[in-house]
Amino acid sequence: MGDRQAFSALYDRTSAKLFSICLRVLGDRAEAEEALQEAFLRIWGRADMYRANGFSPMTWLITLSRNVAIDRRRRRVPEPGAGLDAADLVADAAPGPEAQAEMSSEARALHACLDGLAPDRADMVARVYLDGWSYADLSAATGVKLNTVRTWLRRSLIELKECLSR
Amino acid sequence: MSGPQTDRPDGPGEDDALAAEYVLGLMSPEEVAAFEARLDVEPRLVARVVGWTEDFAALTESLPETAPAPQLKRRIEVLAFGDAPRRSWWRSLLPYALGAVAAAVFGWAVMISGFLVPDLPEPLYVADLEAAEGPPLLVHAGYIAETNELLIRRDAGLVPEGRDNELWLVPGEGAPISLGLVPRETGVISRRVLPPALVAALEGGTLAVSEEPAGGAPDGVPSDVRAIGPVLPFTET
Repeated sequence: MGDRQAFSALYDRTSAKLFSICLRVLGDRAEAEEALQEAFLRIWGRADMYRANGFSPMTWLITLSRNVAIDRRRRRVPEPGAGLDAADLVADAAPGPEAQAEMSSEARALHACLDGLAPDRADMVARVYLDGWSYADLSAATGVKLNTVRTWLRRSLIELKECLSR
Repeated sequence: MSGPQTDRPDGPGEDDALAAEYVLGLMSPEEVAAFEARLDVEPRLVARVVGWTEDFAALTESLPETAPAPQLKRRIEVLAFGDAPRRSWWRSLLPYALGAVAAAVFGWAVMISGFLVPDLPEPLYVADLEAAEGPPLLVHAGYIAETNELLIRRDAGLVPEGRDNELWLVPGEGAPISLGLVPRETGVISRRVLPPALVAALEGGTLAVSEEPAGGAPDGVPSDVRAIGPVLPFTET
């Protein structure tokens, strides 16, 4: 019964947050709920492992949920890249000033550094993390060759890390 | 470092870019395998992966929290832990919760559809009564508003020869009211139509099971209370 209670408390505290991630990635409530279900079952199956991996607990939950949702999105047919165009590259990851005020210092630092990148590069990062886009999706959306997109994004990531390390 | 990455320019942030690609899921399966082989032996690379994972997770802070459908929690709990006791005992009561005609319809519906029909009556209130000490005793009770009946079932515990268990409603205020005897055998259900005054007293009330001489408490007052349980609104989710 202790397990049940612990699970119930964990679910109550984190499900709305984790569901928002699944919903953002999958864009469909029913699919997002399936993803959340899978995520919680995995979380629960490996609850004793999180200590070993070095992440903060919430980061672990977020990452696992995001990865489950992204995997589902990528298993969809046909590939999402088909219907994308450059106009889609306006990711809504940039929060307004009000939302920024409520953020953790880590999130504020991240957004400040993202703001330092060229706007389309920051959007790429959000597209890849929050929407699970691949290099092929980015290439299809921008009309830029895959290898070029890859070079752009890798440079931007290095820039981002330098900014975050300051 | 040898491996598939050697054809790429080794700038100062090369490993940072690789770690980010790994965290973002941008690598091919071959690249992932090569990268994970390095992770096994390079703690500094692991630290980069952890760092990026934390950084990117912060991106989710801008997403508005959204509650999933309320029944999802219940579904996950069933998958993680199996069926909760309340649901299973209640499911087993269902055929009894219907009148004779309805029970025939119920059986028929199950036969033709293979599924439980969705609009079966559900209890409005339930109470689980388990003895905290002494010999085991477990009694379940459920009140069906549609038929105005209280269903009582013994699920564990024997009552000695020459004795009976009696069920009581203890209202928020006032003396306990007898709701009749608990079946002597486990799995047997007794049913009792409740007068309106008792239905009103169920909400916020408590049920109790006592041990009495055969036939019930002689003076209408519980003598040896064995188990008590609050009357709760029934929720399946």
